[in-house]
Amino acid sequence: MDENELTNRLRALADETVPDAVRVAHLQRMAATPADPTHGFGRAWVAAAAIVGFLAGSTGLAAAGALPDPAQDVAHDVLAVVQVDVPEGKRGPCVSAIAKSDLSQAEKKSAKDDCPKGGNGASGGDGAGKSDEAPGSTKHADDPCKGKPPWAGKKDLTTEQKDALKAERAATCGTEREADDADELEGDDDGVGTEDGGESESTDTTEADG
Amino acid sequence: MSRDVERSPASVYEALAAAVLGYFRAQRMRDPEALTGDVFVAVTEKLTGFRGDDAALRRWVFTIAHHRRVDEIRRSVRQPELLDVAAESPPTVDPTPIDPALVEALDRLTSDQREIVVLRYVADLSVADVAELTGKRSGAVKMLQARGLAALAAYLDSTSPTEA
Repeated sequence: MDENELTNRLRALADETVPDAVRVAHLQRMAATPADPTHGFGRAWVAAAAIVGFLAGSTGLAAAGALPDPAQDVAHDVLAVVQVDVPEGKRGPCVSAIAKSDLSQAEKKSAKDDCPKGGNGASGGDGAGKSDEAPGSTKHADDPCKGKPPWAGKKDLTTEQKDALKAERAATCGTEREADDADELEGDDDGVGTEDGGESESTDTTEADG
Repeated sequence: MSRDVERSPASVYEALAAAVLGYFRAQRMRDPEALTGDVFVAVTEKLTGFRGDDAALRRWVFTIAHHRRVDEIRRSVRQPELLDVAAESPPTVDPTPIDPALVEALDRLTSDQREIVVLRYVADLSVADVAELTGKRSGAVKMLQARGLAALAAYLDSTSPTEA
């Protein structure tokens, strides 16, 4: 048997007539079957909803400055095109500037470690738990009467030097409170108790710890 | 039927029901008429979402038929006892095909060869369509087709009465 004859016989199988009784039963079943009006739109709807959800979510995160830094930078650049202002990532420019500097590798590594982490910039987010200050700065750098006193944690100072600093601070700030705090801190550092640590113990220790 | 026209389920049935029935009969499926009905019920449900020309329609309908066949085979593997009981009941319609010798010869092929040969010649799908539908490469489809046709010819030659 040649191939043409065989394929013709095979194709003839598709020409079998459907018995009338079967045909009528099939058409009745089909007539009783409602068309699914959502079919064909299902995938499109799911895809559209996914895209809208993704865009809304990522734009919201970008607006809050909560994206990882590289993504925050991209979001800043892209959304700026459509006049949407979202904060820029902070660590990226800092690291980039350090990389371009003439510092040694060790200095660059140290400086990079001091770059701010996370996406919460000055213009976005609440910054909770993160510092917006420059590396090495302190929280109360502009007010000598607040925060850690100048002799706190400096073990290499002599007693005379510390007393001089205390006197200077007392003269500037006019209160003994910070001096007491400093004594307490000094005591913590040295493992020696304070002279009058009673009421001051529960006041500003967190500030010094921080 | 022209390209992308509105089709009624009945018109699709009239155009393709015989081929779908032949597909199930050639595959030696139990109750091919019921399976054909199932396929066109599914077609009726989903036809509003279908877009495409006649070739695409044929490809789509036989994709449904192929999946229905696979489902039926899986069901028969899971529930052989139920099908045995069903097999004892007489069929509602005489399933004898118009070419019983050919259908018997198809039954001698391997499952893959039979599937490819039937999809290529009974369903009248292209090699690419069959490859996509069965998840095989085009080369594998061509090889199975050639071996299937050769086996069919050999079997039919061996069983046909010798010409005087």
